[in-house]
Amino acid sequence: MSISRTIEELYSSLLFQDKGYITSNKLVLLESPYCFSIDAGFLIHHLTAFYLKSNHKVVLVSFLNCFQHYNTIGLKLGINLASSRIEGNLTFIDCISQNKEDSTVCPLTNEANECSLSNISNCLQKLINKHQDSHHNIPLTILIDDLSSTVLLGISQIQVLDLIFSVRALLQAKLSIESSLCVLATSNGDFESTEGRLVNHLSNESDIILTVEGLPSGFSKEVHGKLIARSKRPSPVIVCYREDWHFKLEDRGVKLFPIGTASGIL
Amino acid sequence: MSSFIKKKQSSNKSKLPHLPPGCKPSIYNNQTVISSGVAAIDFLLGGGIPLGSLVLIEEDELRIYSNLLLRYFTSEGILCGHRVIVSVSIGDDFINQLPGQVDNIEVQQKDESVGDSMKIAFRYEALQQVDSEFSSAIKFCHSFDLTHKLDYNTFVRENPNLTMINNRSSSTAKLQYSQLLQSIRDNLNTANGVIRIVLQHMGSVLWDNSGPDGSREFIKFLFNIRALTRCYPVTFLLSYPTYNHSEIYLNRIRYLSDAVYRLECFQSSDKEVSPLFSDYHGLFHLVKLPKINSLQSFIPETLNFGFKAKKRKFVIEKLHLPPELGEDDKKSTTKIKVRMDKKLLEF
Repeated sequence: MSISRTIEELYSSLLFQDKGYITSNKLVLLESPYCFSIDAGFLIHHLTAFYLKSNHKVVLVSFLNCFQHYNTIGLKLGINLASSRIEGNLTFIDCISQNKEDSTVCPLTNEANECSLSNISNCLQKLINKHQDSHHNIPLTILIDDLSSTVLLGISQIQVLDLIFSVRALLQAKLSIESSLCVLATSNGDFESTEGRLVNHLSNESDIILTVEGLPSGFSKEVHGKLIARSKRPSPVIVCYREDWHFKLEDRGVKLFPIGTASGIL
Repeated sequence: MSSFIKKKQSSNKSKLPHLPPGCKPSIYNNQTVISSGVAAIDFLLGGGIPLGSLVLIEEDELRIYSNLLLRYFTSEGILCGHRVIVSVSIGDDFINQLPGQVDNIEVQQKDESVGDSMKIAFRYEALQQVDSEFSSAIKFCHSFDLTHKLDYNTFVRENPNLTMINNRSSSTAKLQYSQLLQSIRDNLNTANGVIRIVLQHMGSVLWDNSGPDGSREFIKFLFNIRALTRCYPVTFLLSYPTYNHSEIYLNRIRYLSDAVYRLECFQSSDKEVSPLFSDYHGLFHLVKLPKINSLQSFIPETLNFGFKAKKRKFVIEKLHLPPELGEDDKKSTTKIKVRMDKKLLEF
C-alpha cells in the first residue's frame, strides 16, 4: 500500500471529517510564504480541479495570472477549464488584464491608476444572486488567487476583509447548500507588514487552513516543501485537527508523503 | 520485411508550431522562450526567458555587471530582429556600448586550437576537459564578444525596431511612472512581433523621493507591466537597486515578478580579498524561477553561482574553491625530488 496521498484525498478528508454535524459554509485559507522556490499556487489549481470534478459551480478570481495559465495547468491535472467555462461550470474573473471589451475582465486599477475592490465585490454579488435564481441546489465555490496583491497595491486591510466577510455572509444567507470560499494569501507570517496582518486575521476566521512552507534546511531536490493542514472541528468542543505532510511537485500534480519518507531519505 | 516505417521529415516539420525568429519552445514545459544573450542564464532558466514575462535583475552595488546583462539582452534582441524598447538614465552611454556578434565557427576554431598541443602531459589529453560553465548543447543565443561593439550606424541609429524612451521626465513619482507606462503602452499598440523592453535602474531614490508613498507607486507600476506581459508578446527586463529597501519591500517586488536574479559584486566588499572567491568577480543568485503555465519550474542543481567578466565575455560558473597551491605543497615536492636523486646514485 502506498503511503503517499494526493491533495484531493487530503482535502476531502478535511472537508468530510466532521460529518454528522451541520456544517455551514467553509472559509478556506491557503497560506503561502514569501519563499521564492515554492509557493501555494499549486493548491489553487488542485482545488479548482477538485471542485469541478465534484460538480460544484466554481468562480475563480485571479489577481495575478491570466486564464491561459490556469487552463494549461488544468489540462495537466486532467480537467479542461476552457470547456467548463463554456458549459457554465466555471466563471473566471480576470482582475489583471485591462482589456475592457472582454466582459469577464474586472480591473483592479481604474483610469486614474487608483485601486478599488468595488468592481470585484459587485461582480461577485451579481454572480451569487444569479446562482441562487438558476441553480439553487448546486453548491457554489469561490476561489481567490492571491488576495495579498490587493493590499500591496494600497487597498486597506479593512476593505479587503470587508470583501471576504461580505461574500461569505452572502453565500450563507442566499444559498442553502454548503458552499465554500477559498482564499490564497502570501505573507511572511509577521505582524509588521500589512499582508502579514491580513493573513493572521484570516487564519483566525477560517475553518480550514492549508499552509505551505519551505524547508528550513533550504532547497532540496526530493522534497520541495511542507504542507500543514489544519481544520477546526465544530464539534461540541472545538478542536483543532492538524496533519503535516512533505510534498514534491511533479509535472502532473503534487505528491504528498509523511514527513521523513521521501525517496531521497528512504 | 520490417514493419517499421520511417517517418517522413516533412510531415514532422509541419507539426511544429510556427514561432517568430529568436524564439523556441522550452524542452521542460513547452513555454515559448527567448534568449537573454548569455547562454548560461538561458540554461539556468530552463532554456531561456519566457516570452510574456517580467524578469528582474537586482543590481550589483556599482551597476557594472547588471548593465552588462541588460546590454547582452538588448544586443540579442536587435540581432534577432525583435522590437526593442530601451529606457535608461539620461546621459548613460548604454546604447553606444552594446556587445557585438562574432561567428560561432570562429569561437569553435579557437577552442580546438587550444586542445591540440599537449606534449608533456599528454596523458591528460584522454581526460575530458572540466567545463564549469553552463550551456546547452545547441546554442540558442548569438555569440558575443565584448571587445567588438555593435555597429552604431546600422544597428542603433538607423534601426527602425529600436526605440529609446525617456525615463524620469516629470517631478513626482506618480506622474513619472504613469508617463513611462503610457509611452510603453503606445509603443506596444503599434508594434507587432516579439517585443523586448529594457528598463534600467528603476525604483531608485531618483524615482521615489516621496518616502513610503513613492514606493507604492513602483509596486503599482510593476503590477501594471505584469498585466501588459499577460496581453502582449513582450518580455520586460528590469534592473533595480536593492540598497535603501527593506526586506519586506524587496519581497513584494519579487512577488510581482516572474523571475528574479541577483548580482552581488565583490568590489568594495570584504569578499574581494577573501581567498575563497579569488577566481570570481561576484556571485550570481537565482532568487525566483519562472513558473508560467506550469506547476513547477525547471530547477537547476543549485541556486548560487559565481560570475566573472572576462575580456571577451561574461561567464557564469559553478562555485568552486581555488586549487590549493600553498607552501606545504612546494615542500613535499622538493622532498620527493631529493629521494629520487638518492636512488639514481645507487645505480
